[in-house]
Amino acid sequence: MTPRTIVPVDASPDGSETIRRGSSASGSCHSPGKPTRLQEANAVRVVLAGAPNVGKSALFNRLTASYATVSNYPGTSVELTAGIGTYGEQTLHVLDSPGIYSLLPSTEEERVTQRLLLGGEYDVVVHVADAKNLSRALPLTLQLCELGRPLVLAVNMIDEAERLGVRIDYARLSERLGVPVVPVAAIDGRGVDTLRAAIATARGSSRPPLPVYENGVGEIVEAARRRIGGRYPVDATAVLTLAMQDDAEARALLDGAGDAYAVDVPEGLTQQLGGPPVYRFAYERKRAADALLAGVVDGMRAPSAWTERLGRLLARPLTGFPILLLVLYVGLYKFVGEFGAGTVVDWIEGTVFEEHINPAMEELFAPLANAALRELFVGEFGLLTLGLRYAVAIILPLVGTFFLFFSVLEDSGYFPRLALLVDRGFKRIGLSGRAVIPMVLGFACGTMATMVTRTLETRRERVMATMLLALAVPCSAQLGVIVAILAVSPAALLVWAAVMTGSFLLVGLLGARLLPGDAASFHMELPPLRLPRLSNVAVKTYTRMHWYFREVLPLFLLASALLWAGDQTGALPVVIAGLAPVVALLGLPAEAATVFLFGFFRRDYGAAGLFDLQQTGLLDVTQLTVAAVTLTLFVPCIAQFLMMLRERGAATAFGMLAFITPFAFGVGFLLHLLLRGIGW
Amino acid sequence: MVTRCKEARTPPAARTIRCGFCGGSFAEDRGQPACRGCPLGSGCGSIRCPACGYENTAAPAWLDTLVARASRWRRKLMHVRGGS
Repeated sequence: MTPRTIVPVDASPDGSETIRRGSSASGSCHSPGKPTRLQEANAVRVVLAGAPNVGKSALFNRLTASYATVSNYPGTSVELTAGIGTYGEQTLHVLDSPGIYSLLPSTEEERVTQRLLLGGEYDVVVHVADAKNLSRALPLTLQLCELGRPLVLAVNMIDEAERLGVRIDYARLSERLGVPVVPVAAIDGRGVDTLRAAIATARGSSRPPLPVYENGVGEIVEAARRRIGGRYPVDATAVLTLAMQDDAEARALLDGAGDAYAVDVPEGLTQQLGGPPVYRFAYERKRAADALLAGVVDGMRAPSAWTERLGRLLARPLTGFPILLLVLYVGLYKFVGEFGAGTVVDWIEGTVFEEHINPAMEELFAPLANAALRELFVGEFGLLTLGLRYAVAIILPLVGTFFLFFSVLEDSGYFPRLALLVDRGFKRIGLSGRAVIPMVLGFACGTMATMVTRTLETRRERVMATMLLALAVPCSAQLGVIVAILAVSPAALLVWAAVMTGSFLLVGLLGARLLPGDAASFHMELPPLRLPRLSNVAVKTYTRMHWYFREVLPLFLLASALLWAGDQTGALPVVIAGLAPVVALLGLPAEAATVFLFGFFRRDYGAAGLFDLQQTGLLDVTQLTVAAVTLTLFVPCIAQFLMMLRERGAATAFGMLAFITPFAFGVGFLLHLLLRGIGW
Repeated sequence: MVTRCKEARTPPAARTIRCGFCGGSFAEDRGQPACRGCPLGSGCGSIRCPACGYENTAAPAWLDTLVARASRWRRKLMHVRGGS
């Protein structure tokens, strides 16, 4: 496909090169200028590699001070930054490669880094690792050791690690790894001179020792090594381990060297290794990394055996899904539904508002001679009796209990396990486990979640996730209210959950068929599971409630004022009369039309209206279920729609709206027919 | 004339935030504030993790200080009780 070469520092393959910085005058190692001839003769080609956001670019800027160029890697749109620095009489040609988590690529950028590293046209690889998350970085260090080329481990962000109380025994780590380990703080330049010296010394030094993998993995790699006869730009171990993980680039290299027979087919390897090679290699590398780090890092708690075991149970489908159901039952049904809606809302609305605040307000506004003005404050759509009551007495306790539950899950480290659990299912609907991030956030706020979809890798994923968020993921307030309403009948809650899941999967599967493309792959290092800290949970819950209340109260008051204005001008009854036939199709009374009108403002405002309607006893269980389903599938709130416009463009956003509105009412209508048909 | 350099004020160190999703730690100023481009405007105080994109809740500074002080008092109290 593309030649495996490092992009020349002073020339661009496609002419897109741009000068980022001018040259500096001095030629010292602290402020390198234009290299001398002697320095050119002693040029060291350096590749900076490492995970995204570990400070590679900051370190690149420290190492180079002149002639930095940005150009596309041949045949791709991936940008590479190259620059020149000096160390004494040596010139450092430094290339900043795109971030990678492992040598096994899942994106075009990672593929470029893999090609660079397998191409071998460099003298030294500098692995930039985050000092705060060293255990995550070390598996990649081991893979880079497999390349058999001089390697330096630059442990960056030591300033932040020190602030966290993390202490690292660099000498011991260097001794165990067999490569120089240099602590660096690229942000203030600490350790950069030492790193330059280490790079200069590493050039031409002996290759790093190959990592030792256990449980049969090492033996299989060694046996394959003995079978090969071709020549490779880097040590064959790296090529073999990648080929065993079915990497196309590595298999092509083996093919080209006439060694394709050395590596078994994936099925055979799965049998020999006792599991998919990708997972077996990742597991063994992690084990080896943990062993290397034992006694090296101090100040970070090691996960205990029981949390590791529980973590595995949470991520495996056989045990993970029953645990998920249990978590939802206890957290949502019992805590948010029964305690939040039953106990807390009853007390705030029934006692505080009905017995104290509302009578006091009515008394306060009674002297107001103008009836319409009085209605504005304490009437049917009054700012105090509707807007404030919905926000304070219904929504706030429900989102409060929901955010408490959410913060507990977040602080425990459950979410990444959930991502792994659903990864396979998500792939079927064109998403990867990474899409769990916006989906989980969608249960807090759909607007924020829609913005987060931009972090997904492909356009297909972004469109799918935006659509599913708008359709079938209720926000915190809406979820709280719906769980509260349907808590009267667990069967109704089950029907609602089944319809939501069904709609999610149906639209997802349809979308996956209509939108061409492959599902993005998902790799993630799991953080340790831990007991949630009370202070963390309390702070997160408070902060979220505070933000939500500040956002929701003005909007609820505005919606109440608009409804009051509509009521006073006579427009509201006309609109409600227009909606009445639609709600009648769903088997709902005419009063429910107001709820759907509320829903146009915000889904949570509509849900609060539904809660109010349920309190009056006007709806039976079937009607509640149908109304809850329709309202959840209904158009997202105005803020979320604005975000959809911004992120996906007008055509896609309005297209989604045109699909969602009839879909919501259609599903509600069919559910009404079905439930009435079976005599529910 | 003697001129005196004004002492440069060092900006306060950025808080370290632990991502609620990927578990990675990052300095607050390295996270991308989520408010830019949100139609709701500012206020939620979310900070996006630079590694995984998860929107983390960043508590107001006063609350962080309060929690830190409370935990210091708790530790002191436990120390006093343990010592007596």
